[in-house]
Amino acid sequence: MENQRQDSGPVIRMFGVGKRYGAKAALSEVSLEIDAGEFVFLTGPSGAGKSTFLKLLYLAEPPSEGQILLAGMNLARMGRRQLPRLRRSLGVVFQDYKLIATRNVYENVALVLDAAGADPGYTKKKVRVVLKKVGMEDRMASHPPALSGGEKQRVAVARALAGDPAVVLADEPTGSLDPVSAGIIMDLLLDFHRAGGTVILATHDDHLLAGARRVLVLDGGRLVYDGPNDLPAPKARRP
Amino acid sequence: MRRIFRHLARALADIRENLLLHALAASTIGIIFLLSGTFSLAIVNLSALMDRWHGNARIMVYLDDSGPGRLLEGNLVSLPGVKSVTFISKAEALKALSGNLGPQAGLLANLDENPLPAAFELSVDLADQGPEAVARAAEAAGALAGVSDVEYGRQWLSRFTMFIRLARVAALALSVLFLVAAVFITASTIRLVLYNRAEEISIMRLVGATEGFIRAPFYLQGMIQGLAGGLFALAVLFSFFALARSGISGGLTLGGFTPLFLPVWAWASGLAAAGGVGLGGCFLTFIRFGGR
Ligand SMILES: Nc1ncnc2c1ncn2[C@@H]1O[C@H](COP(=O)(O)OP(=O)(O)OP(=O)(O)O)[C@@H](O)[C@H]1O
Ligand SMILES: [Mg+2]
Repeated sequence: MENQRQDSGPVIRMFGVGKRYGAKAALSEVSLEIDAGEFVFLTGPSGAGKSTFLKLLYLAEPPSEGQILLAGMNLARMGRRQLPRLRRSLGVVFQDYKLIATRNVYENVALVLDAAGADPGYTKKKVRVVLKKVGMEDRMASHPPALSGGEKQRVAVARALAGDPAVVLADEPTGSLDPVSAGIIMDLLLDFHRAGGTVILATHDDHLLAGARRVLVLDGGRLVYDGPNDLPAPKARRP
Repeated sequence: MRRIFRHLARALADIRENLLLHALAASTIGIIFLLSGTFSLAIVNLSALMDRWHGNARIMVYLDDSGPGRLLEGNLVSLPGVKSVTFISKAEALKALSGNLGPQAGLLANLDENPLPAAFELSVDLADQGPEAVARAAEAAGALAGVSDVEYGRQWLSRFTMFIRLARVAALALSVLFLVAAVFITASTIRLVLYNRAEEISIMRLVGATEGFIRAPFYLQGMIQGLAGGLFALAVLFSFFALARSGISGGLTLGGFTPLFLPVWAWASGLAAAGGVGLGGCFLTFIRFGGR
């Protein structure tokens, strides 16, 4: 797959973005810019709107108000035909994994590349490489229902990285993992970031946030802080 | 090309997973096409039979004793469609009759006068004209002076022709109806499969699969299902036909008539229609339930 990364400039811009579910405002008046190549943490208490924020970005749902620009494209003005292409420029780790239960681990990861029309030989190699990175290469034939939460999460990370996206949106990608596995996943995301990729990572885990250059804090759907994490590191494991 | 194989593999895996559902739908489609095929086969053979009888169509033209008699031959030969004319004199007619009567022929010996009229037997060439040609020729012959009566299988022929025409229209209308029914049957099976796959489809959309990529395996499933039904119908129809034909050649006779199977174009387009039904059913499902 061709690399869709941009070198600089905002890859994401949000203007007064809000999302309501019925009367409930899950997200309100969020405005910000995220440059290509940034590693941004998204944090806040449960129900603060982290997943909602990411859902709007990966085009699962339209915002109730405001504008979102992704790689300069206004999502509200985009035709349905352009949607798949844009989604393929994103790698998403869903909070609930969203693996296809009837397909095995290999097929779940290969799906992204197949859908992008990648050469089958390349797909085969690439899927093995990413599964090896997350330590799941010997579980390729297993089906998701037979995997533990942490294993599913690792497959989800592999799938997000398989298509060489420009941006990775990760919703609690280490939420079900022990510290060692979580460290492996964080290292993968850091590698991706070092290679020029943009990462937005939602987490409650303060360990991950320590020393982060940019942290977005949501509370009750509002963006209450946007800046570096100045708190001292609770432990050493961090970007 | 590789993509098609991949979609095909996907479609076959799906069919295997919902084998019973697909088998049921395919056999329903098969029965529908079998009905249409049986109609068509009956019509093809009835038409062929009728054409044979037409080819031999005969008109008897009876003459007035006082008329010009045999001199009418020239007029009759020149009638449109008439292939040949044979004169049967009064004496020949009586001889033929007594021949037919056999032992009872003695009855005729008591007649002091021959009551039978002289006649012409016309044979009409109908190779490229309908049964109307017989009627036209008979009517023209009847209008000649010196002709007392004209006889041919008028009513029988026209009734049979009417019947076949009606049957053709009915079979066509039924086939269209059946086709629509088959499309809806396919649509409902595909809808069930789609329903089972709703989560998978939404995940595929989220990771950037195009609608074409998502739908192609379903279209293939529909097409395979339809083709399977069509092939099933064709196989059953041909077996029945072969059985019937061997029955006929083994004893039953239809005056040397050999039953015909559907022409290649007919069953080939039937198969194509079965495949098309599958695609159409799929299309319908996606139009009605395929939104995001
Ligand atoms: N589909 C939905 N329908 C109704 N309410 C929703 C829906 N999705 C989210 N919400 C509500 O919006 C708010 C924000 O939810 P969201 O999932 O974004 O929180 P979060 O920050 O990701 O929480 P967590 O840390 O527990 O994952 C919550 O109050 C939630 O109940
Ligand atoms: Mg969440």
